Amino acid sequence: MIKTNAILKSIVLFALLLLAACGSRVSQQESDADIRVDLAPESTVVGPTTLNITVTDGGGAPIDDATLNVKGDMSHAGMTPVLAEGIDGGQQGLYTAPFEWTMAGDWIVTVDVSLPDGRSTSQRFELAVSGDGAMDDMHEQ
Amino acid sequence: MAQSDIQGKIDPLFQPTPRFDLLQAPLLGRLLRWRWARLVVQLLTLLVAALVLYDGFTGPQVAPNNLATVTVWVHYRGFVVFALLLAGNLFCMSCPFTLPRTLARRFGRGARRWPRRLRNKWTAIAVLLLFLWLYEWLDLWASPWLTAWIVVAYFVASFVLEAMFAESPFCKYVCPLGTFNFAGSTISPLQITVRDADVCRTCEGKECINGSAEVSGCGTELFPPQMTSNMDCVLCLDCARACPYDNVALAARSPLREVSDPAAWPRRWDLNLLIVIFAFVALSNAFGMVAPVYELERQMMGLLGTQNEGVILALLFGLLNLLLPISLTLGAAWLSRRLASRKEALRISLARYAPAFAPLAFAIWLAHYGGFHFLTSALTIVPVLQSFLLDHRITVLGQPDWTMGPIIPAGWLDPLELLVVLAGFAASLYVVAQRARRAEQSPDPPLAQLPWLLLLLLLALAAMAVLLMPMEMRGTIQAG
Repeated sequence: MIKTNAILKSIVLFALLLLAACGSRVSQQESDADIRVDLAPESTVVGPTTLNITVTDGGGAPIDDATLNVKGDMSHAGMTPVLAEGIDGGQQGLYTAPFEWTMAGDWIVTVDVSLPDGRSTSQRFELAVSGDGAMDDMHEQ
Repeated sequence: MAQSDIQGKIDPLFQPTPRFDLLQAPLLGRLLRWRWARLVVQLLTLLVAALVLYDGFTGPQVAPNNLATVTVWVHYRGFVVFALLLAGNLFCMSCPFTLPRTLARRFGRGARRWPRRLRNKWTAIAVLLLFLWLYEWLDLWASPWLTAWIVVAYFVASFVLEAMFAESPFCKYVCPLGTFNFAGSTISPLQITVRDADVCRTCEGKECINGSAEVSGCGTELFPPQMTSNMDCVLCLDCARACPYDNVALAARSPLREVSDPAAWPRRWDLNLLIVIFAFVALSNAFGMVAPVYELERQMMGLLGTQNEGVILALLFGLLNLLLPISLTLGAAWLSRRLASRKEALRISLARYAPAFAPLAFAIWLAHYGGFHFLTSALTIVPVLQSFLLDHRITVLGQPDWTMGPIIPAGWLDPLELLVVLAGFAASLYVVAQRARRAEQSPDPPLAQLPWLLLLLLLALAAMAVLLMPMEMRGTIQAG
């Protein structure tokens, strides 16, 4: 039963390696509770659009000097994400990001916000994009 | 020694000498016959399975950013269809879920036989449909966490069944991945056979199936000199390693030889309907991604007064994957029998042409999984892996490059998918003609082939129409 022993040893070694790996994951980005992000797409129909993003502090005061990264993923694995480039802002906390819904279906838009003082936050928004012009839902996570 | 259920009756020990035997190829042949070859490959896939579990449970719960969902729903499916097309059932060969089998057999009783009434493909069909229903209902493709749980379920189910029963019942009678691979491998270009049937005639030990002191025999109890089909063959090559005469071959064959040969499969309801359902499920699986299905679901919800998507999908599945294929093929079999003026059981008429669905069915799966999902997304694994490594403070691959994805220009996709489906349709027509020509007693007249040709045409047209529609990706937001 050489094969059994070899398999046993391999699996035990493998489990140990896995356990070692499991302990070293960096925690997901922590969000600063004092930064609020809102997302309002001009359209949720397939095609080019503009994402209006509002960034405010805990008291509702606009934040104009933030750096934003916006990434849109579809719900299905393997779909190439859409990255927003040329984000304008902020004026009265409003940032505008040219964007394109490349496909109908469910999207997850992640907005990463970094402030010059080192604070940051990451917010996810779930949107349903249609191919026929009908507006769909949007959910914040 | 039990002969395979699938191989049916005991055939005379005759196989033509294979023209090309991969096991005799320099280097590769030796590597494949190496005693630990399968274990090494299985350990590699076990590593992948472990990453799937780890990232699925602890990683970002956004499907395109997680190794679990990208690996399983893009790369696994792409690998499977291309492997079946170019070689054979390579996933079952490297399946990590069967690795604990040896442990299961050590700790379990393992000597019990799988119940006789379940020694067919009905359970496999039911589990395949159940799996695809869960896939749609729970939006498995959108959830790394659920994807990881699916992998856990495979390990547990495989372990428990292997511990309780002999004859690898999980692979042969239950596993939906195995069922898919068995059906697809019927048109693969490689098949296990023997180099010299006379050697098998005089062989006393039959180690290929009974095993030897060092190597297990065939887990699914197939006897190489009598194998006429890839069905149930997990391509583990244990038969080749166990054979004391080095007489087992992995031979090249025409991909359409098996499905064109009327004697290759037993004329059983379960086996032949499996292939028909395999074809219709290919269509419904692609249909599940286009806009009309959501409209249909909404209408059914209104009509039936329920918002329960599981119930609606179950009804749709019953209609598209059971009622439609069974009624249409039985109708075609009945009509064909009448037009050929044959007096035979409907089962015989169905079995004459059902294998012709295999090429078209596989082509639809290939266009969908290999074309749409894999070719447009193959490189997404790179940024996902970069991101995964960064999460673990490993910077060797740099920052994720999220622009990576397709490996073909977007404009190629539609023509490529159409070409694949048309090729599958043409291959199915060829198989119909071959099976008509080689029908028992006398060849079937062209008129008797017509119902089958029309049914295949209908399926091919429906597949092309669905594949040309804009695909949608839904799964995270409930309709409402």
